[in-house]
Order: sequence, then C-alpha cells, then structure tokens
Amino acid sequence: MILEYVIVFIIIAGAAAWGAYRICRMFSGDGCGCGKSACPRNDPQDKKDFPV
Amino acid sequence: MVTGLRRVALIGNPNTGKTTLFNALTGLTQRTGNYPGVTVEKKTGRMAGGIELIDLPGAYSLVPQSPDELVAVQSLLGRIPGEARPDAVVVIADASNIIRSLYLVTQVIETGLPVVVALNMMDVAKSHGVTIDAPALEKTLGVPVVPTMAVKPSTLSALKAAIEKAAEEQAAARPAWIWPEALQESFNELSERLGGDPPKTDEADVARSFLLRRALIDEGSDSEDALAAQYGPQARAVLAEVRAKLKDRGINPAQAEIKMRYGWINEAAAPHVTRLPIGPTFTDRADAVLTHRFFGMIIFVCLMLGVFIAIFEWAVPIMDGIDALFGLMGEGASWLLAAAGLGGGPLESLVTDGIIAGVGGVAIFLPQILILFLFLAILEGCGYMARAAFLMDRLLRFAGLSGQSFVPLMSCFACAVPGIMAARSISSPRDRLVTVLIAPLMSCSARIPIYVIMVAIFVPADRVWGLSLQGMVFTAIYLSGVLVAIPVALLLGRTVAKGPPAPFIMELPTYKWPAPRTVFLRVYGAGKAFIIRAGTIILIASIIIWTLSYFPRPDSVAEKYDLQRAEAKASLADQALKERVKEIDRLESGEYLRGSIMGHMGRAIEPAVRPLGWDWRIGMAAIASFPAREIVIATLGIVYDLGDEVDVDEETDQLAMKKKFTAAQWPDGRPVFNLPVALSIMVFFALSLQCMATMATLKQETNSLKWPLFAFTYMTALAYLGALATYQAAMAIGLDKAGA
Repeated sequence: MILEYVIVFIIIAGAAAWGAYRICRMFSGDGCGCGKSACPRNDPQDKKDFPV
Repeated sequence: MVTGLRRVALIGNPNTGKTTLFNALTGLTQRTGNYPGVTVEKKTGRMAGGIELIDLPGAYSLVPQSPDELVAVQSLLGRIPGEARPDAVVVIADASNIIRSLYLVTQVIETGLPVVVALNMMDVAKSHGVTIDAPALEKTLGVPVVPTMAVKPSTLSALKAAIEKAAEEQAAARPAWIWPEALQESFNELSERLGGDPPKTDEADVARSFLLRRALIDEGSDSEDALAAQYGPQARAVLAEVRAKLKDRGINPAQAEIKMRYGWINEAAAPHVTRLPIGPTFTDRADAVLTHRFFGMIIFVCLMLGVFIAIFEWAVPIMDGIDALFGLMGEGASWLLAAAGLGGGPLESLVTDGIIAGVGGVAIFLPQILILFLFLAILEGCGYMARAAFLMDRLLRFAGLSGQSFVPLMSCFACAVPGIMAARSISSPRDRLVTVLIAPLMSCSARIPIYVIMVAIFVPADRVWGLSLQGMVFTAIYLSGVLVAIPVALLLGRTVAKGPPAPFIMELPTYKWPAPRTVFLRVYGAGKAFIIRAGTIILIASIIIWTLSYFPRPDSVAEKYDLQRAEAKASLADQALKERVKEIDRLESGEYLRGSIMGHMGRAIEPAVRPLGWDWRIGMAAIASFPAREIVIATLGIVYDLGDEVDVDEETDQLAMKKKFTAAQWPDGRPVFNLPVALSIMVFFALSLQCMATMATLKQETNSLKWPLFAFTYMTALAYLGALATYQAAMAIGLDKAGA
C-alpha cells in the first residue's frame, strides 16, 4: 500500500514539475516550448515591438 | 557557427518554390505550400559538402515591406547580431515570370556576395510557352544560372555543384548596369561627406557602396539605421541633405531605381526569354469560375461544407477502433497492476481513470485531425488557397482588414500558433495586430474533439436535403468563429488599432497537382504533433486533474459504504445483490468525487456556470482546459469515470464517452446533458481562448504580455455571453426535448 502511494506521488510530482517547466519555457524562452536550441523562434530578430 | 562550414542563403520572390528546393537539397521536411507567405521565418539545414543552407522568407526586393521580409533582408546582409553574412546566395527565380524575378537578382548581385540564380519551375514555364536561354542569361548577368525543378530532386545536381563552387571560390559578381548619373553623383557626395577610412578590400568597398545606395534610396528603412550605426548619428542629417538636393532636381530615388533596373532587364536580359503565344491556360479558365464574385463564393462555401462533413462522417469507423484499443489498454493495465499486487487502489485508478481515460479520450480524435489536414494540404498544394484569399478580400475589407489577413486566418483553422506567426507577412502593423487578436477565434483542430463528441451525442443523425444534419451543425459551429470575428475585427479596428486597412496585392499562383510527398508530410506532421500533444500536455493535465478529483479519500466514506455492502450481502442474493453492490459502488464514487478538491472547487463556481446549463463538473472541465482546450474532454472523461455513474464495461457498440455523458444527472434526476447544454459548451469553446501555446505565441509576436491578456479577457467574456445566450435561447424554443 505504501509502495503504491509512493509511486502515485512520484507520478504526480513529476507531472506537476514537467508541466510547470513547460509553461515557464513557453512564456519566457523559445515560445513554442519545443526545447530545441536551434529553434528559429529563439531568434531575437523575430521579437519586434508593435508600433501601434 | 561550426568552423569550416559554409553558409548559403536561399532567397527569392514569394511562392517560387524556395522551401521545396530547400527540402530537396537538405533532405528536411519544412512546410511548403502553393501560395505566398508560407515561410515567415528563416530555417536552416545541411546539404552535402559542408554547406549550411538558410531558407529565408519570400521577398520581392531588398526593401522590406513586412516583418518576414525584414528577417530575410537582414539575414542576407548580415545585420542580425551574432550572425555573420552568408558566404553565398542562391536567388530562386520563377522561370515562368523571370523578368520580375530578375529585379531581386540585380539587387542581390549588388551586395557583393557570390550569387547563383536557380531558374526554378522550368516545367511551369514550358507549359506557359516560355523558353529561357540560360547560358546567354548567365553571360549577361555574370553569375551562374541553373535551370531547376525543385519538385524533381534528380534535376538538382547542377545546382548543387554551382552552390558548392560559389561557396568555395567566393567570387563576387560585378553589376553590369550603370546607375543614373544624378543618383551616382548623390552616392559619391554621400560617400565623401561621411568620410571614414577608405575600405581596405574590394569586398568592404562593395559592402560600403551597397549600404550607401540603399540608405539613400530606401527612406525610413533599416538601412538608414545601419548607416547611422556605422557613421554616427550625423549620418542621418547628411542623408537628409543629399536627398533634399535630389528632390530639388525633381528626382525620386526609389522610382529612379525601379526605372533603371527594369530598363536594364528589358534591354539586356529580356532578349534571352522567348514567349510563344498560347491561348488561355487551364489556370485562366479555372480562375474565371473559381474567382468569380458569385460562383467563386458558392464553390468556396460548398468546398468548406464538404470538408467538414467528411471530417465528421469518415472518421467514425477508425474512432471506434482507437476507442477499443484504449479500452484494451485499460484492461491490460488493470490486469498487470493486479498481478503485481498493486491493483484496486489509487495507482490503478490513476492509470485507468486518469491517464488512459484522459489521454485516450483525446487521442480518439486523431482521424478527424488527419482528414482535416489532408484537405488543407490538398487545397494549399493545388493553389486554391490564394484564390480563397482573393475571394475573402471583400469580406475581410468589410471587417476592416484586407485579403493579406486571409492566409494567417486560414492557417488558424489548423492551429492558431502558426497562423499568428504567419501574420508577419502582413505589411500594416495595424492589420497585423487586429489579425493576431482575432486569430484565436478561428476554429482550430483542437476544437474538433469537443464539437465531434457534442454533435455526435446530442444532434439527431437525420438528413436534411440529403446532407447529414450532424455534419451541417458541425460546419456551422466551425464557422461561427469567423462570423464572430467580423464584428470583433471591426470593433478592434476602431478602438485599439485605428486606421484604414492596407491595400491587398497577391499573386495568384498557377494551379498544380499537389505533390503527394508534401501532402503526406503535412498530414503526418499534424498527426505526430497531435499525438505528442496528447502524450505531453494532455497527459500532464490528466494526471493533475485525476489528483484533484481523487483526493482526499476519508476513511469515513469507505466505512459507511462497506457497512452498506455488508448489509446487502446479508439480505440479498444473486442478481439483486449484484445490482445493489453496483449501486453502492456508484454512490461511494460519487461521494468521493463531491468531497474531492475538484468537487469543492467545482461547487464554489457552480452558481456562475448554472446559467449556461452546466453542472459543476462541466464548469471545472472548462476551467481545467485553460492550458489546452482538448483537456475539457479528458477532464469530463476523468470526472465522469471517477463519479462512475455508468458502467462503461458494458459498452459494445458506442463510444464510452457517449454513455457517460447521457447518464450524467442533476441531484433531482434530470439529465445534465441535452442539446442546449451541448450547444452552450460548443459555443463557449468556439469563442474562448483556452490555449496556453496561443497565449505564448501572442506574447512573442507582440513582444508584450498586454495583448495575450487582452485577447484572453475579451474572448472569455465573449464565450461566456455567447454560451449564456445560446443556452437560454435553445431552452426557450424547446430544444431540450430534441436530441439524438
């Protein structure tokens, strides 16, 4: 029973950490969250201010 | 940059087959399409011979008019910080429209980079009666000219050799044309007045001359900024004085450049191109109907209706198969856990009720995604999308936008993320902002699972005029986002982004048979992305939702129902006992769910969602689906599974989800789901911005958190009000008594 709860806890904690990591990277890093260092969306040139 | 690696850029007018050529040379599978604006960012890949190819967005000239063209030009000119100029350039010219392509060729030659001209689409040129004397053109231009057909990789060996030679030898071309005297005098004056050290190499001299010319001609461009960065802020004042002198002489530098280039092209290069007189082509004849004001629109609507009905009807047999597969997976997982001594507890519930019910509930919609992308790929590949943009120009103009917005908005029917990125091809910042703000209203493929499940369960499977009623309702809900987007765009255009729409000029490409490989790659890519999404975001969300719905598990509840089970066993037997135990199991599951974290949260928000006809579980599913809208299906699957109001093991011929929903009841015994509730759910998800990836893309593309938050707020308010009005109206006309 304890082993069962330990496995469930690990799965839940892993999912929560993975989810938080993806969200952070999506908004602060490469945008698409693909995680590739060569992702073209990392290109600072793509980030242009809207002159509106 | 890897030492020894040569970098070669691919540039050309939009829709000349750059990405097809890039894919053929590198073996990569970047997305292509038979309409302008598919590539909006640079992409890199390796080809043989230690060469890195850079696929740049399409550009008509080196004077960028939109953000995607700016990326192309800056990359070519080495103005991107931390990135060197390419070692050579391949200019892809449309052989069927070579004169226009040569304008860009002449500009690129002036950069001083080694240039190779790929005369692409030679097959199309031939069908138009166009023949080009490539060796003579090569001699005139002073750069290698190689005929190619990017769709036939076997024709590319000469091009590969020319690229390797250009990158290796670094032999810069010399322009063969002479600038008008007045402009040349102005360049000289600008050069003298700015002073600075004389260039030490020929290459530096060519680069300097190029910068001076572009800065003088392209008023307000990034070349001015580059000049000021190199020669100091006083360079702007000098530039203004030199330009003023030209103006006094009645000379417009930009017009003088166009006249000079086309003058040279017509005189020196055009004689190498012969055009046989041919009658109207297939494209001309097809366009007479497909772009007709009335018939064109009718055909467009019929095509869309056909696509959506096909999505709805063709997928069912495959869905049943996937459903059965996940059913087997659930049973297999239960058996394995039981064999390992871990069955019957939270782990089995997490795996079967959480992960398999959640992920399986979404993955089942893979066939619809594949069918949608199959049609999109065919329509894009044959060239119809550009015609659709032309037809939509009038409608979009009514919404205060132009046909330039059509391609990004149409892309959003697949997914809002590439759609919003495609808006970089829009030249007007005002149109671009309005387009990205209404883009999430287009029904993306992630909405398909919600629409399909609701329509399949609650809309009668009747036929109207021989057409499936379910298919028609599905089409209507799919297009509802477009109808709502029109007034929203009008409103935004008069409030947050004022100004007139930009003029729309789009080249209509010739019709082609879609390349089977391109169609396959598009469908495969979409299917893969969907499966990855189900295996990542949906999986994560399913685990978290299960956790919130499963815990806490107070012993008092178990004790209470164990007592009832014992009483039943003492007083009943056989079938009566079996049914009583099943009833007790359901009551216990329901009590656990109501007492869970999700249950408490759900009941707190229930007053807000009751006017929409929703119970707390639907409300919580809507909130939980903020990261990705498909999560609503996963959540409903999990909470109704945990609530266990129906025994899905008895399923034989229907989707498990269908029976779960139809069995859900309010405490007074009324069914939770009926047609008005289904419509209300669909309208909510049609209009809400339940997608974190879209929000992140909006932030990236606008470089501000303000716009994604604005879009989320206005769309959530719109979705709530739309769902409220739909439910109340549907109830008022008695639709709650109708149903499948």
